[in-house]
Amino acid sequence: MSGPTRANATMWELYRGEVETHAKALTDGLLAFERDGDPERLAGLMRAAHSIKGAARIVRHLVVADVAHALEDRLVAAQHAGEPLTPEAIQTLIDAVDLIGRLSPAQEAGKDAAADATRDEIDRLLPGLATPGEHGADPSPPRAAVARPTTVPPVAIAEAPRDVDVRALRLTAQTVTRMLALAGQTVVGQRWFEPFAASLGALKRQVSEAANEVEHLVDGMAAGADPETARRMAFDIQHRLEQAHGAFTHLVATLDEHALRQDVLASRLYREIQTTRLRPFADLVEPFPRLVRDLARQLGKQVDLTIEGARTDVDRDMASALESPLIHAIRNAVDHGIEAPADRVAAGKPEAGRLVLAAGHRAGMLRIDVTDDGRGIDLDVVRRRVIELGLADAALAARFEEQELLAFLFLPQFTTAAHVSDVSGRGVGLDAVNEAVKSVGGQVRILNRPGHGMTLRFDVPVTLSLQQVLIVEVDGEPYALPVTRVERVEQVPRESIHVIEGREYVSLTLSTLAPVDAAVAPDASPDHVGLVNARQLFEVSDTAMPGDVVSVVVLRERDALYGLAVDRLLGDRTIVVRPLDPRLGKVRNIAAAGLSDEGALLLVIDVDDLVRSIDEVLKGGRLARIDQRAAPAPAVRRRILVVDDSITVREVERQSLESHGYEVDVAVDGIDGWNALRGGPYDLVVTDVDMPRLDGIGLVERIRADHRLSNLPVMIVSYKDREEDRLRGLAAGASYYLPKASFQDETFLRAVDELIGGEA
Amino acid sequence: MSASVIAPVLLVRVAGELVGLPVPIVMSVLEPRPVRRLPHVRDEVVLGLTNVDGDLHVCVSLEVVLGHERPDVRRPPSPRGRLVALGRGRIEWIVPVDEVLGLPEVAPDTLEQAPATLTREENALVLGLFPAGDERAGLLDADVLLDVLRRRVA
Repeated sequence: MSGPTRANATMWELYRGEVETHAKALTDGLLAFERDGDPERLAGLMRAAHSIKGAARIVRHLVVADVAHALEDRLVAAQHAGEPLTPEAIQTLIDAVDLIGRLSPAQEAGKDAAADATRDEIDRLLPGLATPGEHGADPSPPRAAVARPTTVPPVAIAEAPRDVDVRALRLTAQTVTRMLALAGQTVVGQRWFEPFAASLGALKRQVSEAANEVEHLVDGMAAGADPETARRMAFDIQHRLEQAHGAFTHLVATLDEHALRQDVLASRLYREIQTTRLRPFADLVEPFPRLVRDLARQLGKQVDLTIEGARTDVDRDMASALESPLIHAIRNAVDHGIEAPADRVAAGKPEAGRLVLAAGHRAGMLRIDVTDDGRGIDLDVVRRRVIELGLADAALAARFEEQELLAFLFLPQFTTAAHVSDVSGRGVGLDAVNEAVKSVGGQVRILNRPGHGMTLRFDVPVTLSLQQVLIVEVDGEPYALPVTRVERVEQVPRESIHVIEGREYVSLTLSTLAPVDAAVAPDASPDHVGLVNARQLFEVSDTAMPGDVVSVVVLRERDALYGLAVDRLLGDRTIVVRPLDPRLGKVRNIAAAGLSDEGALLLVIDVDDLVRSIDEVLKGGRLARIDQRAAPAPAVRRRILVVDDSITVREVERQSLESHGYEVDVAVDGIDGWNALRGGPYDLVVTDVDMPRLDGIGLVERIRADHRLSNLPVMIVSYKDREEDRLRGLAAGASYYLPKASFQDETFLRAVDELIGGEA
Repeated sequence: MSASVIAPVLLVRVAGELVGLPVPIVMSVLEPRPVRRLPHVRDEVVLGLTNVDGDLHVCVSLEVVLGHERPDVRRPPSPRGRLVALGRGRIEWIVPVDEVLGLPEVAPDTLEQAPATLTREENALVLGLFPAGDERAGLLDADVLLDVLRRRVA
């Protein structure tokens, strides 16, 4: 890379950062001014506009400089010339700040394309910014030209994410000074080793001299030397060795002390650098007051937004991963949750809805609650939609409990909204939220209070890079399990493992589990936990676990407990987690990798994936017994791979296929399916079309392009039932295209039978 | 690689064969260290992950690329075994070799034709043979090697 380009890139990074800061100040200030009309605020606003103008001129981003200049002029006019800022004028100013915000990141050094696209908007805005006075007798035409609806971007957040690798971090000079001082001390600490090594060398010489003298002494005594001389020599050697021992003890003590000091320094340096990655929750939610205000205006509602826990630390990467799910949650709350003012009054609530964003740390996790006091979720409406979409029949739907019904809201395309709205579009879109949160190792839950509102609860790791893990050993290699997912660990004597229907179980007493569960099941009856051999699950070895006691890690997924039998428990650690090389694709059961304190490579287990695998093994009867005495050979059955990102559809398909004697594996999307296909022979693939990462059409194309798989029958089961969708699927190479509406009835099983001819 | 330019190569032994790796894609030669297996990855060419100065890299098998058996990564490495970091400008792959023999220079126009028994993929991979002591070594094409690895892993 040539010098000037890098310099320019850095300049643009700084400029962007500066515009971001001042644009925030402007937006906040204008919103505050709109509320209280305090003229004291104008000076600050002018300064911010002026700063943007100056920065934009330095990098020759003239569009922004023009808009900022007009902004500044208008503010100056308001302050000194007494040109009042009407609500319309404030809106225009806010639009202009938005425009600056959008222009700044869109512009890469040298590229001017974005400027053309927004030129019209600028031409519309600039006259609107002109002070009424300048237009003399006829101020109305230019102002009328500012068409507000077109200038309020409904999704100001749709900006392309910035390149993580080149993004600039803003650090205070003080932080850098502290880091530099710590780094300097570690360098000094390193130099300490040179004199230390010299002292060790001197000690070594002393000891070898003593050894030489012992040799002399032995030789002399053999030659019949004078006992008195020998005694003096021995005395001298003893003296030297005592000295050496003293020096050695001293050296060990200094080494210990130095090691401790270096350790403290290194940890402090690490923490210092780590904190540069943290920012307060307030930063993350900074655009939200504006978002809520705009949404509420657009929908004719009144919403009071409260932020709690503004000073909670959030990792930068986690903050950017959470931004879009939180925006989604807010849009849902304002659009679907909070009622129109009249409806609220009729329901005996205050006219203005209440929306609370609360952040805090709970048990080593970051928890963010998005709570509204709107109508909540009507379970009967959900139940009706489930039946309408053919996901369950009326009898089954009536049996679903609240949490089961709410789980449907996380399915793609599942909507209960009565109307298609501009704000949240079709669908509640919770599937996207769920997906995004899971991808950073978190969970989303709905806490529903029908008629009184709901909370969307996000529980995510505090940082993306540091994780508290339990390290276990499987077939000689270490694996890490996130402690947040571990219910408990047990040392189970082999004789207390018993066999039910050919599967191994261990009985654990619930009363020692978390108190909340004890409250649910106070009878303290033992719970049967299915045991799975980790060696078999990870396909690293078929051998039995050695020893009389089996180490079991108990994992919980909703109501079910699973036991993973491992070779050894190695203890709790905090590790730095890094993503796996993307070229490897998704590795089954593995979420990431990390390094232990000793530098050994750890694989971090993907607990969701693992629980699915355990479930498959338990249900599919492919269990390798921990106690390998007589494992019956399983009958050869036809194997089917079901690929669908909706757990409900997957489960329904799996159950109906299994009840017809097929062996079924599941995959959560196209990539996962493709990895499964590479791993083992299947007789049929049943796949959905709309899935993240790799869709069904892409999966079919890959299968057809692979010479080993090109003859594998593939059935597409999709909600898309238009003729062109069907043709597209068949053109890609699908053997059968079935609309999802009919996947629950006999059509599905008949089609499977036709394709692979019933049971083998 | 231009035919008239004399190019240095890293001469290594892999599965009994002598192989010349073009120096422009050799990022470094490392002491043997453990390679961590990945569960479920049945991709023949991927051996696992390894730690190089705190960075995790994908370890791949040159043996498999050259049509030999996949080695067992858990077998203790021979004292002469080394790991070679390959890539352009940054480490892309780590390749275990049995031995590193030196850095001879090879003039590509003196290369002998590789035997026609090689498969098509290997044929494109091996530019030709050059004498190395009493034996003959195959000179690998840098771009084809990186490309084959990318395709085999993806």
